[in-house]
Amino acid sequence: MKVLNEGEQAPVVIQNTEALKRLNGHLKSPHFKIRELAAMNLGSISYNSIGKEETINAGSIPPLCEMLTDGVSDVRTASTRALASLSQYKEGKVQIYDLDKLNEIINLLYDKNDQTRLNTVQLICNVGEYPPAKEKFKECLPKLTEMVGKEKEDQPLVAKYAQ
Amino acid sequence: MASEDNLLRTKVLIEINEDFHQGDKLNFALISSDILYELVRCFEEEDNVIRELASRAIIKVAGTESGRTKLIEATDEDGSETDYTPKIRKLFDDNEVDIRANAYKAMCSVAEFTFGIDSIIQMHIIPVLVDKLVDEKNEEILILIL
Repeated sequence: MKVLNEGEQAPVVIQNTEALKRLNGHLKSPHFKIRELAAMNLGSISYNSIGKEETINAGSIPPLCEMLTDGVSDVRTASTRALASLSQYKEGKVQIYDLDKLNEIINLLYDKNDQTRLNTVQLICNVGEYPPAKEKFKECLPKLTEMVGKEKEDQPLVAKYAQ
Repeated sequence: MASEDNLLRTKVLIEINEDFHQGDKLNFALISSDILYELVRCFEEEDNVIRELASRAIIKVAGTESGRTKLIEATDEDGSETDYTPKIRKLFDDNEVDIRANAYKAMCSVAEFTFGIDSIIQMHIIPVLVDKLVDEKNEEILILIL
């Protein structure tokens, strides 16, 4: 499904199904792979503007935010990927802020997984456009500055976004 | 494959699966025979072993460019339910877990390329998969669906 969701005609097809509701249900699966893939699917669906709106309206942000502290690295990567995409919309930024998950997001800057750190930097950039969140994210400026220097060699993309 | 002896047909299918490990044999069979038609016809057999072996061979067919093209072209030509891809889709409802898994694996291979993705979407497979998100109880199959 994840691959199909990236197809050009997929957003229109998805709109007329119960896909989002069912994927939201699988975000709470006891099986880590199912949680990860459900989040990856939501990230793929929300790649375009129709998908973003639909995914936000379907209530995907709260369960995705719960997954930010998941014990499985790949699940955290998938949830930050989806949230980074959804937070490009104002409603997404506001919801993430209101859910009081900014500390969890800041902690993910220290995640061992490169892709999670990259997704987190993008997520902070997006949510930080919401003024109250911007204030909170000022706390992580030293860490971002450190990342710019530290990751320049190994993970230039992370360093670039952190800058 | 035209025999009515299931044991004989099972042996033929085992051999086909062994031969299909070699790309040249697989491509030659696809070009020079009706093997794809015969394999897909086996999906309607009552014998679980025959259906499983036939669906396993289809995974290998879908793993090659010529095989994917044949599977998709057959769908595009008339768009009717007698085509190959809809028949693979019907295996999503099979009672046997291994056969369902083979069907999803074959579909994943077809979807590895843009033309395959577009064809599958046109075949209205997304709504079927969305339904399977609740109907399918086996976690390993659910992972294949996702």
